[in-house]
Amino acid sequence: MSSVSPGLERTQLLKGVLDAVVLAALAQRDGYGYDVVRRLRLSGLDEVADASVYGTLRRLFAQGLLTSYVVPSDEGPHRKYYGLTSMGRKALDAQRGDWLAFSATVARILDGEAFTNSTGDEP
Amino acid sequence: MTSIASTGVSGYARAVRDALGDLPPEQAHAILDGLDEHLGEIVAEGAVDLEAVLGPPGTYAAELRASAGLDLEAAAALSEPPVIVDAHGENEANDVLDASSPEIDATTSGVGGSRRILVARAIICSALGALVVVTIRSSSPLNALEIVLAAGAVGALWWALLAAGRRAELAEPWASRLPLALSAAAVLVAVLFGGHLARPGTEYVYFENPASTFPAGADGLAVVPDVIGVRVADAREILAGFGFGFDSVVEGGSFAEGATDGEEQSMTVIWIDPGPGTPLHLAQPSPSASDPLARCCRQPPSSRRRPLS
Repeated sequence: MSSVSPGLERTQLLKGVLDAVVLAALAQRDGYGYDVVRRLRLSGLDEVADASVYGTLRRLFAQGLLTSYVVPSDEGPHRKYYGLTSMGRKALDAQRGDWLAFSATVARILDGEAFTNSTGDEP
Repeated sequence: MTSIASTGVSGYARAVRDALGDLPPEQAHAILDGLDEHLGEIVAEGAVDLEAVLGPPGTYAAELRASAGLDLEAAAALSEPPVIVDAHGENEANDVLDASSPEIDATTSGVGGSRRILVARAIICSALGALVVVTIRSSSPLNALEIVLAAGAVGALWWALLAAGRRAELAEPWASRLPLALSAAAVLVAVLFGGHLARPGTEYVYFENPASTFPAGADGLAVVPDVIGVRVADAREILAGFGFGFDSVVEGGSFAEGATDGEEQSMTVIWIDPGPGTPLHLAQPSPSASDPLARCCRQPPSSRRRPLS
């Protein structure tokens, strides 16, 4: 008996949208690494891994989509905050548009609506 | 408590850096810059054991590598999924998130960018080194070895400064000190031995009887034997040392104008250049008209002045 996952692999889904959700989180307000991780988890992405978020932050920063600055703290370590650059905002807009279009298409397919007009012989 | 936490951060960060030790420094810096601060944030949130919160450092490093788009296979090959828990270590375990984002091309171009930076840095180092040599030896042409040595010295010094600035972000103490040590050694070698390597040695002419050695020709030019390859610009310097009326030297022919036929010349000091690109060397009057060039290796003529017999 083969073991088939009953649900979607959320980690696989997350792979393709991690950039977008990180950008979206920072569009809301600037944040440091673990702050972004926590906000994503509180938003429902429980499976998001710290290293993935941190690595994504570093990559987006290297691509010029994020800016970074250090905020001193008297109570704990200095925190490196990230925020969106103008390029980052444009990238977020583009990725949001792509996601909305993609998710709408998938939703229509899953709902069966996508095949109604194309076949014309709905049972 | 703080020291325990900081020790945990540094130890975990060091282990992650070890696992990414195969990356080029530029890539490692791009990923690891800020790792300590990031881990410190997690500790500040209440995590006592980073490994319990983040999983093994090797797994964390593989996730970092994958999420940065550097090595997709590393994450795919992970056999042990990371443990995803909150800062207090209370949440559930999760599958590995080998999140490779779609901007792989951008990452690849980032590597190319690093290479471009290296090439640009090398060019700037060479230019700075050449500028140093030109400044030091403004009156003489440079030879290739001097340019290379000076460029290497300046470039190594620059690199050492960069390495010193980034050494805290490199993986191991020896790895962070090695570029600095190599750069310092390169600078030391260039400073101590560069000059000697660049200069072929001191050659000078030692003539006892200037009158017979430098007879004026029938055309009114005084022949200066064995002075070959003197540049006109350098000849002005030569003639300034003569002090008896020569005002030009023909390049390659070693002739000087201004002397009459058979005129005795009281040579004191002449400068010769035995070949293009080498420094000028000192020549002194010799007691013997038949004496050819005397070669006194790498010694100032004033201290090794002697005729050949």
